[in-house]
Amino acid sequence: MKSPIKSVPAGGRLNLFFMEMIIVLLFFGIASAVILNAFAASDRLSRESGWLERMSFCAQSAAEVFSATGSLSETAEELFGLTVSDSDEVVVPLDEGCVYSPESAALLMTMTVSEDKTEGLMEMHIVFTDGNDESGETLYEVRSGAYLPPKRAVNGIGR
Amino acid sequence: MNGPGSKRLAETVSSAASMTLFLIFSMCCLIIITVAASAYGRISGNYDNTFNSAAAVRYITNKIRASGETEVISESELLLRDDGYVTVIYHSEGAVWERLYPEGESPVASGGERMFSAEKLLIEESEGAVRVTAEDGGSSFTAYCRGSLS
Repeated sequence: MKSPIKSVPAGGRLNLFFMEMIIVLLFFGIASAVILNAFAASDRLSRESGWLERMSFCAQSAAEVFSATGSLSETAEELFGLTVSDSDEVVVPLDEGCVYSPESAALLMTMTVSEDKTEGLMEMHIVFTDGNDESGETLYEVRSGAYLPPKRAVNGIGR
Repeated sequence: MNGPGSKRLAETVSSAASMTLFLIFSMCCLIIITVAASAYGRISGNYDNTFNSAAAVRYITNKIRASGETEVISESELLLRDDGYVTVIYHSEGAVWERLYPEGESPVASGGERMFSAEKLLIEESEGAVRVTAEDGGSSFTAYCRGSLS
């Protein structure tokens, strides 16, 4: 038994419209896949730029407080209310808003201090890594130097 | 089977299929536009929320660094002294304002130039540094800045 659809003559107006719609849908599908991808990427980039801005504020604050106090433990306490023993390295778990969050650490902020051979010149290395990534991908990094004479901070140089 | 009745049926089926495809196309267009509007709204909202507070904090901390002497008058008022002039930065009517005074005049936190909109501005002295917090659109930024505190 022949199908009744085949009885429409080839090249008829309706068939042409049908074919055109299929081609249009095909192109539309490809274009929308690309566009949706671009939307998702721009949304992700927007959120990431917000995080980077917060990280830069956090790093700047850490460098400023360290150059004022000269102590990593005091810096951690002032910025995050965190009590740590005075050492050369402090790792602080933070959430996406750069707030101290030991339960859900989206970011890990590592502050390392090393003393230069020149007396009183301290270098602070601040690194933000992805808390959910086992390989610890570096998201933001800043190095700052501060001249801290043995007694107390007098003058600081940050970059 | 190839009579006029079956031909009419075939035409009906063909036009219905074409219309269905057109409907699918229209629906897809609508979905894409909705998704685009939503993505744009999210990005724009995120930018609007963070821009004012972040810019206000950056502006104030840079002014503190550039000034000769910094004095925290109250939680939302800051006085910056330089050679020949005094700058007052304060919060009023949901915005951060700035006003310049020549040296010798008594500065008052009123009038001046409106700099950024901010729901809240908090300026405190802490550990030898100035802590500046600005909040706008539900987004808050804080930065410490070491100035020449008086």
